[in-house]
Amino acid sequence: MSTDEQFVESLTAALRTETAGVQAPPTLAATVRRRHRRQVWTTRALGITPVAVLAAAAIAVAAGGAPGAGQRGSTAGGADPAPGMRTVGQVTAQTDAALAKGDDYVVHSTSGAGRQVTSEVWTDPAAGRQRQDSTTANGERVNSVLTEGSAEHGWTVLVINHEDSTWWTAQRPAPSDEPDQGITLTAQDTPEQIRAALRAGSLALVGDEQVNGTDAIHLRVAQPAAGLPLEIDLWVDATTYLPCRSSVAKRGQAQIIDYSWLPRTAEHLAKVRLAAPAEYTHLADGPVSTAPAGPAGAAG
Amino acid sequence: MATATPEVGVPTGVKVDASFDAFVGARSTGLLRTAYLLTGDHGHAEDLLQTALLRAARHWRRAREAPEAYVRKILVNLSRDRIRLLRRRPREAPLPDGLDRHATGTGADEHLAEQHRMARALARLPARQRQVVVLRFFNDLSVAHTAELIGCSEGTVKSYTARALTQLRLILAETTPATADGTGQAATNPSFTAQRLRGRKPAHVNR
Repeated sequence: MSTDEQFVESLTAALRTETAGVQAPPTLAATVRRRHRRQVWTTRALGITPVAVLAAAAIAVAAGGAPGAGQRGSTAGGADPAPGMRTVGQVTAQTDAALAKGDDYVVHSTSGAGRQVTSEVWTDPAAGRQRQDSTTANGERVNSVLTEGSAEHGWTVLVINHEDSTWWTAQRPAPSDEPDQGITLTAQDTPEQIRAALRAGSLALVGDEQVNGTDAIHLRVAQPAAGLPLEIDLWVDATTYLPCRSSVAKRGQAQIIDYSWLPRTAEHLAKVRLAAPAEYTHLADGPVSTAPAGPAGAAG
Repeated sequence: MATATPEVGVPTGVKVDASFDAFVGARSTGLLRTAYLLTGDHGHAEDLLQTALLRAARHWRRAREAPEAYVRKILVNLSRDRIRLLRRRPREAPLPDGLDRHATGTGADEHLAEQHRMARALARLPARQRQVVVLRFFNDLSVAHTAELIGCSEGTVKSYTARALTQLRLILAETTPATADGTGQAATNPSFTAQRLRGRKPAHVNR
């Protein structure tokens, strides 16, 4: 055996001896599970608890359980919190609940205002269908993309390139879990994706503001891991608690997305459809390496 | 589609099933030892392991296919910053130097002291070199696997390995207790002498 081999053998033995007394605590799995639960519930705990307390209070008041209720009779209608009592917990819970019903709407989002290319996205979350149109600042159409499918089963993508009048279709497989790169929001996010992003972080109440003439509540989304470069702001409608604007900023450059939540009328559902113009050329295999990656990463 | 074991208290969609507990129970000591060697500090090692397991739990659906590799990769990534941080800050309660000096003790004492010196020498290596040593010689990973974990080429791993082993020999030579003849070399193990090996590329580099 060479001295090199002896040295490595000694090294290995030394490392094993050095660590022989190191034992993981038997409660480690339970500790991690507890931390995991706490992390998952953080956002919801902030939100659900106050709402649950308020609901319980409302039930108690309605049932005559509140102090003095016996004298004054039922005061169920008086359980509404005062406007000045709004908490981040309430707003979080209301926003989460509103987004949970996102399938009831057709979502229209726009982004890139003031940039060279703007993007307009129509999403029908109930049908798993999304259309995105990209347009230059001069009003020239760049491309249109229709994505249909689900994260479980993959997507079928129709891409229309208006610049060279071609179109093609592609199949995109369901992705593996997303890498842990923090939270962000894009114009292509479905209501459920927005909801998941908000749950992954935690919200802070900034204040009441107006967005496009609508009363809105300004929230700031904290990244779960400190030090991530994205700063995310979210404005939710003060009445419906659905997002009406988001801003994702990195190094001072902000991407603003405006959202509209529209009823599922025939008119709005028609916006989520796309067909290639007859005069366009069909590319059987599509161009190499230019097809979009899926709904959340569609071209544009 | 595989169904996860339902768990009370965890929201729908957070799929951390019983296999997570089984994995932690079976492999956490080994991973903690790796973390300990990477950081050289028991408290930081536990902290890193908890963080890594927490991330694995968050992505358990993906992680459970190869949970040990998944957690080990996170440990390696987390340890790099931690090692740098630790090197910039005073360490917690270092052992007095005298504890290493067992040259005049029994053979068993000498052996233990020698092994402890090796671990102490490891803690003085730069982050990358330390990672390579731990992954290759403690976890017994191949050059290719180590390169994948660290995120560099196999050639770089070989280079780090060579440098780390040379550096370890030098550190050990510096810290080897004086012998009766005053040479400063541990005569019982000639491989620990730095002078003869300085500048040579160890054969194990290419394993």
